[in-house]
Amino acid sequence: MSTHLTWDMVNEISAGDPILGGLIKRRLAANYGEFLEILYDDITEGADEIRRQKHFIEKESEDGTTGRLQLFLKGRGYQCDFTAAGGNVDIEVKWKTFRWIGEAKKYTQVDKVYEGYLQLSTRYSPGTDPSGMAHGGLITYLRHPNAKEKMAVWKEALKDSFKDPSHCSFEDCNRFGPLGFYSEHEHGSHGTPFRVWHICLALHYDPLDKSGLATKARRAAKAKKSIKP
Amino acid sequence: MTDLASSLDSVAQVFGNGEERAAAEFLLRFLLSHPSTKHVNIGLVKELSGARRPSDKAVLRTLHFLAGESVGILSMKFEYLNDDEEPEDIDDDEARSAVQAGINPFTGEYDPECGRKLLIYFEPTGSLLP
Repeated sequence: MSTHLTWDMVNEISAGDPILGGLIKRRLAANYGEFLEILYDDITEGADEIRRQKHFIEKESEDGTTGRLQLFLKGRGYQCDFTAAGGNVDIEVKWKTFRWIGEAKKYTQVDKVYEGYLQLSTRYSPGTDPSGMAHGGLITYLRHPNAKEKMAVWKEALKDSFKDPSHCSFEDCNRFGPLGFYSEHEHGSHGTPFRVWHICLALHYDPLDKSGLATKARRAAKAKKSIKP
Repeated sequence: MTDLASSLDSVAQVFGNGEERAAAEFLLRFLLSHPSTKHVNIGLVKELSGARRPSDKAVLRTLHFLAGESVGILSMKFEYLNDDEEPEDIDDDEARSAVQAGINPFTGEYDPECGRKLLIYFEPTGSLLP
């Protein structure tokens, strides 16, 4: 190959690669808005990767699944750890001078998701854009059916939680469709606007075809055998 | 600052002990013994890897990761081929205009050959310790 690595070659080499996607765009992010757009694309792709593995991670813990997402983001070049930002935040992403935090919750019931929302919006110090708006994310892992309905229920519960609904607004999410939305309200500690990206990773796995059922039973038996006394 | 062992651990944590880690080890050992190196590209890493010949994808993954925020041993830089087809360094704003709008940094005009003329390389940041 030529000693030069051209932009065309980078595009060719990185085509379809889960790690290399968007590497130049990410490197050239010049402001918080650009960073956020690229990060949200990256998280969306990371979520796709995790969903593709859902049949292997049926029983995985909240931290285990979050670890997968963190590793994906690390591979894409972010600094991404379980670190403290006013408490034990689940995901803290850093890129150059930009910072973003996310709280991850297993969606078992709405109250638990709300607890995560409160942690995100009152306990941690989120990253802010130049206008002073803070940004964060609430990532839920759902291992039950009908994710669309569950997200609609969560959105309604969140709306109802505000004493004055005029102090919050909601927006659809293009990346996750009905499994995502944005909320905006005043950050509890900062008093500045706080925009939260709510997304649901639908990890429900319950195949009903014969082959799927047999595979599931085989995996369950194998998992049972591998448990040491 | 980061040392060889922890850098390789970081690579292995993300990619396992495959081509990427091997490529990283060849490169990092070379950088430690050649601290004046200023220009790292895919060709150099493949040459250093000898008979193992990692794929272009594995080498680019490695370089990209080593230039990421969690390791930071390399920094991704940009060049553009001038009228004599010689690479010249360009800054981030010029690279951004080239990527976003196909603008030639030397003429300020749209360049249909931007994809061939915009070059990427990696420069050691000097933060690697033995």
